[in-house]
Amino acid sequence: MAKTSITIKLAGDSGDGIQLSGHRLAMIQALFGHDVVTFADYPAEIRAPKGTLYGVSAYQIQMGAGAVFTPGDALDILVALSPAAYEVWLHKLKDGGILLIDEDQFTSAQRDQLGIDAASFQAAHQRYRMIKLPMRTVLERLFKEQNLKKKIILQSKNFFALGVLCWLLEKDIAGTMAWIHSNAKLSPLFKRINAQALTEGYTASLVRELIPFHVTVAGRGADAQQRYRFISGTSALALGFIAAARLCQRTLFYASYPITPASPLLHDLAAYHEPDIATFQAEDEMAAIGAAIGAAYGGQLGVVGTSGPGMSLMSEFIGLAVMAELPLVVVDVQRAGPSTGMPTKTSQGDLNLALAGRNDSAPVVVLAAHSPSDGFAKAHLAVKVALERNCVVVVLADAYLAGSHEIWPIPEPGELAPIVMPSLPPPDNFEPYRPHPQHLSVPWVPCGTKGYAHTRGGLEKTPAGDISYDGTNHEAMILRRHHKVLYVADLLPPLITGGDPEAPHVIVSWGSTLGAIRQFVMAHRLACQPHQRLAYIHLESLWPLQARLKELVMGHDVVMVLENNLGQATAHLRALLPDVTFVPVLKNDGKPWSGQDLTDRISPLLASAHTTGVS
Amino acid sequence: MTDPTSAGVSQKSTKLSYRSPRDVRWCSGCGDFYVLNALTSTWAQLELPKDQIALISGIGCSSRLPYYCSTYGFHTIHGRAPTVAYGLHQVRPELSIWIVTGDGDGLSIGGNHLIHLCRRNPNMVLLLFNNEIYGLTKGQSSPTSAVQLRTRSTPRGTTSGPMNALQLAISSGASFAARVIDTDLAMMRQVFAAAHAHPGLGFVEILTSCVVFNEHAFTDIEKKTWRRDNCLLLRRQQPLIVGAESAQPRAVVVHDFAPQLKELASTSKEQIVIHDPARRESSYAYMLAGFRAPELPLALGVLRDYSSPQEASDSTGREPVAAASALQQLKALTPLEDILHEDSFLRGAS
Repeated sequence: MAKTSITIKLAGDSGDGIQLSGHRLAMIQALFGHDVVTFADYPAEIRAPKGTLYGVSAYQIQMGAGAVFTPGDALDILVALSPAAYEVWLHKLKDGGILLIDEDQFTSAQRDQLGIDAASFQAAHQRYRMIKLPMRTVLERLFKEQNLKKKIILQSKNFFALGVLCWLLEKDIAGTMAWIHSNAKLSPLFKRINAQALTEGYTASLVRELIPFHVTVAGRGADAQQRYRFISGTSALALGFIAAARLCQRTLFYASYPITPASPLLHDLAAYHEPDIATFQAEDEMAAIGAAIGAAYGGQLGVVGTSGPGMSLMSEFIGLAVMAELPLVVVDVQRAGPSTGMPTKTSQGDLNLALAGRNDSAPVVVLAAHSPSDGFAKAHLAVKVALERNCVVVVLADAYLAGSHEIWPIPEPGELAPIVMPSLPPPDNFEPYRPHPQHLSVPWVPCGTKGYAHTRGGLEKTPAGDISYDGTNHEAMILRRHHKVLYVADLLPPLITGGDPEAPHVIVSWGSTLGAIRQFVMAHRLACQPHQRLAYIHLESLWPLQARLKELVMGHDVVMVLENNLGQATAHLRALLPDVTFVPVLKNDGKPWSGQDLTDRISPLLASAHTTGVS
Repeated sequence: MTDPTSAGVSQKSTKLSYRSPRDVRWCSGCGDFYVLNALTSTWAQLELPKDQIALISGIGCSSRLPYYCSTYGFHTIHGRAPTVAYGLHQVRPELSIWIVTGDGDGLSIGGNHLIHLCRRNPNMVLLLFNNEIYGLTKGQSSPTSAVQLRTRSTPRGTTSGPMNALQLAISSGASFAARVIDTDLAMMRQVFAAAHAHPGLGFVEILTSCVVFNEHAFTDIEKKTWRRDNCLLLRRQQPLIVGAESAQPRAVVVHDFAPQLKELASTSKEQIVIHDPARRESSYAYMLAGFRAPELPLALGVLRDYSSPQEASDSTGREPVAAASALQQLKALTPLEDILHEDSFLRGAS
């Protein structure tokens, strides 16, 4: 059976190696020319107890011949290495979908423990194409001669399953075999048993007997020019910061305090052994942002990354960077919930915090990445804006983008927009807070620059840099800092738009929802009535807004705002464009928007708009 | 007045050339004036170029000091100057960085940062102005306020005892620790210069008098004669003797791990502890830092000044980062193309 796209989920207990094998499978698909988007879904606990529903770790992959924008929704193939994984994810499998289980795990005792009764298990045989592989038995037989501990043998189960999937999907295992042997993190023993398990999964006669067919997805032709990487949101951000630092010839100083789901950004950057890439694991988030500000004060590129709780702690320091007028980039990888909330689950709930979470008016630029690979572009843009306009830029990502991978065409460094800082005014009678005549930013003077010694700080100052409690000066400075950020709009790209520009309905969105919206609008266009047609407008900057938003939304009758929170962008846009009626389309379930979510939430609105004539 | 910037490092630089023309807004009689005086004269004595000096301060009366200097200055937020100074140091290790903090700023709201700065031990100076009170917020008790001190926030007296700034610093890994009193200009200059010369964090506690909210905290110690007769004035390789010129000189001896003060006349020379701040073992300096009247004499001067080439470097293990442009000339960087293309592939090629 050949398909245009399929969605696969690997699931098992935490510690089953699901994330690793899922990632390898996605890489295999990418190498064979498919478009691939993945999503890692794992518990916050490192080794959650085996056999528990909350301890299930999963990795979802959508692969296709054409453009794929999301990790997919309903599953074509579910690989359940444990009964708990079966119990948690079976409801997502399409009728007639392939269900591959480790039969050895499905003893009646284990089924009973999870409340999977015999009747429902039997029913699953009818509803799905169930393939029961006794994985433990196969592996024990395979390694019988080697006198290995059972625990060691079972650790190769994920590679066995990967081999089975390669057989099922008709993908050669040579690339993965080479990867195993070149992987420095694997000990010689694990190289050997993983390689054997992979081969066994791919070639065992039992496997070929139980799976006498292939599922294939049409590939695309080889492209000899463009090279690609399979990249996560945090890796894309890391590369974007590195590229930007090289463009402006500054040292990248990245400071952070460990926090889920932002830590991979610290791990990625810390792995580089470059003299111009420095990382600093601080004692807390305040120290992290303080050190990044110190690096900016020293004339280098200061970047700090965190998630919501850390962002809350950084509030006062962001205000200082605004007042001292130093360039700073703050990455907030959003996660669900106030306080500790759900650390590994996604959300877009920190928009208000980014826009306004400080005492009095401390305006910052707020950008949002719209896909994992867009982290690269957003990091570059954030650095360009921060350095050219000497201001603070917040980049919003989220747990979904951080844990999701996609294929990224690697740009040529020459394609990237240059970063050109305004030159310093002459040192004679230098005034540290005298604004640029056009865009109102003040000069970025690295500490130690000869002839420009002066004091900066959080107290209000006159243009000459003297402390001032004068009301007229303060008002002028409040307005200047506000307008300085508004002028950043001329550095921003045009709005992303799509769908039918004449459609009566438009979805306005920001951040990681773009992929699901694109996929939904594409599918919807084929099936809908003229009165149900849809367009979308996607914001890459929440502050300042990109040009033409009002003009573009005014062309539609119904303007929906879709986001993963309680309506923060909706309220923001209502305040900025009071003449437009914005209809919020919201969810708060800790998961990214899927095509099904969009169908469920948008379709009723399209129907009611027609019947009630809402405009 | 000579400007050290325009004239280069000149022997004519005076302390006034490091002062900004701004009015100093401290209260008349505040101990901070003495420190500003001693600090600028230390710089003049060391002939530091003023645009190579970075003063990083937090919030409080003492943290206003950068505004009164003509050097680079950054008046940051409450308690967090060490974090900004550390980031600056990481990218500009050649600068002469001086943190200015106080007992509330450094030991209360910023206590955690202070601990970790001592642990990392970067090459900079930290001046902790300890007046045992909150001044700028108008007279609340601080972590160093004497027990039972009546303040506006503790009208019936504080209940918890004071913390010891130097013991905290030493136990957190500071390799240089000193204590001075605001009225002793000569000692301040010596200690500031030694802290600056130390290859690591130069931690200096300065006892400063707040004439408005805690006037009597250091009345005795500020008097030269009282100090001479009752404080332990530390000198390298000299015996620990208090009041050598007084009628009853006393000496510090250590018996059964406990320091004691004995009459000098009845103490044999071999028993008297010889002051060596360069000891690797920090317990000696920790012990000295804990001396408090009336049982033991307050120690003033350099308590600890230990350095080894290995331990003076930052504990991060990273070489100080130099400017990218200079490094690119050395061709030490992996080209950006190569970084971007790590693990790259051609699609459909497999």
